[in-house]
Order: sequence, then C-alpha cells, then structure tokens
Amino acid sequence: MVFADFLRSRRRNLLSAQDLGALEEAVADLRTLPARKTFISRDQNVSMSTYLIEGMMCRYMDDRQGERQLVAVHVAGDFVDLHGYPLGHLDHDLATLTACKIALVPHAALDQLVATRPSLTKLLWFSTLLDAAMHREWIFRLGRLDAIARVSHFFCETEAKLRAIGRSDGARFALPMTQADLGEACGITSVHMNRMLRELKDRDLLAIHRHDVEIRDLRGLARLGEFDPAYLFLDEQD
Amino acid sequence: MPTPGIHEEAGIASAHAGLIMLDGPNGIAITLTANAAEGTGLSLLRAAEIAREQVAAGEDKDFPEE
Repeated sequence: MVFADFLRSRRRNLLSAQDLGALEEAVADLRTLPARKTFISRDQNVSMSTYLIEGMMCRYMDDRQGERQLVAVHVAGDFVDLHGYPLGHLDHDLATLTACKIALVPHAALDQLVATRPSLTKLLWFSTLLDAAMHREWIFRLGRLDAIARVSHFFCETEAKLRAIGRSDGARFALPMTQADLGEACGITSVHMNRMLRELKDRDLLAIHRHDVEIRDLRGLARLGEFDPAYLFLDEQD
Repeated sequence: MPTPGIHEEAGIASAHAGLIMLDGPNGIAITLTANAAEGTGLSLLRAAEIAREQVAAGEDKDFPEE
C-alpha cells in the first residue's frame, strides 16, 4: 500500500477505506530517487504532487550567495508538495536528504478526488494546514530561541514526527542528516551545530552516533527547546 | 519589567574550531571569525557608551512608540 503512513497517528481513522482506495488509484507513477538530489526547483511549474513513501526530503531556499536555508524536513507519510496543487508552482526547492521512494499524483486526479470526495478533500486540506502549523513553529524557533534551544526543539520535533509513523521508539531513531543540514534547518553554521551537539551530549540530553540519534532525556530536551507538540496535531496516545 | 524584544541579559561568546559563536540573548545565534568578533565587540562597546550618555541626558524618553 502506497499510503500506509499517510496521516498515521493523525486523524487516520477519518480516512475511509473508499477514500483510501481512490487515493491509491490516483497514483500515476512510483519512483526511487537518490539521496541529495533536487527533485523540483523553485518556480518550476508542477502538474503532479509528490507523496513520500520512504526516506526523508527537505524544502529549501537559497540566498543570493547560494547559502541554503531548510524551511521544512519531510518524513514518510508526508504529501510534500500538495500545496503545489492549487498554487501551480513551488516557491522553494524540493530535494531528497536520503534515497527516497515517492508516489506522484497528477493534479488532474486530485481535481477528480476534490470534486467527488469531500471527506478526503478535508483531510488533504488538513495535511497542508499541518505544514503551515509547522512553518509557524519554525518561525518561532528561528526568531525567538537561541542556538541550543533551536537544536533541542528540532530534535524533539523530528522525534515526534518519526514516532508518529513508527520510526522512533521515543529514545532512538535514524536521522541521516549532516551537521551542515542540521545547521541549515536551525539557522546556524555547521561549526556552531557541532558545538551545540557536543553541549547536548555533555548535558546528557542527546547523543548522535553517525546517523543514529539517542535521546537520553526527552523531557529535558523539550524543556530546553520550549517544545510543545500540540502544533503537530497528533492523536492522543492511549 | 523588561520591554519585549529588548534584552537585559548578555549574550555569551565562545570559541570553537577557530571561530567565535555568539549565543543569545534569545534568538541570536551567529558564528564569526576572530576579526569579525573583535570588530563587533568594539562596535558594541562604543554603542554602549553612547547609549549610556543618552540615558544620562534623558534621551531614552524620546523612544517613539506611536
């Protein structure tokens, strides 16, 4: 099933079997992409939306010097450019961080779904509004938090998103991002990120072994990063 | 009570891998070369001196809020 992780732990119970079947049938193409490849460029017209089946992708913007700022990190289950459906083109670049499996859904097929399936339409809208909520949180993170808090917040968010799709057990998860990538997500240089990661380790909050993250004190990390997961709209845990 | 957005606590500078990191207050998180850090530090000291003179002269009351 292509959409196994779509809205997993987030209102998935509202996705009917019929709507899920229609979404599966709307897929026009399945592709495998290599790591660290720009898949869609800024201002490129788009006629399909990209659903991430496996791997990690990012949205980014370059400044005039070509320095990159990540504006979103996507995990499996994300419709990474669903906003391109009504917008027609992207105002940012879209790239892989790891090797990825994606599904492409033509906008013409989305037209059909929107015209005939109101409940699914609301969930697709929810999905894009979820992205907007994360963008608001990223603005807060970059605008109000210092470096150590930004990094703590980023790891808390990533852990929560990966736990929602079964890729974190609450203490350990794989995060194949370089320190430069992490710095670009948190608005700091890679050398600054290196120092922040060392400080988090010294405080016994978090450690990274290659690309494996070990969260040693999730509550402490959340406190330091002023992280409240409410904006992720996750289902209540039983 | 502090004015929102105006910081009363100092940022903390530290050296790592031949560069200077300035953390805080709040959302400030930048990396500087030693030359840039010295230049910024001197500029901050000069500005602080002028700001103290302005406070002494009562010019801080002219802060436009409308």
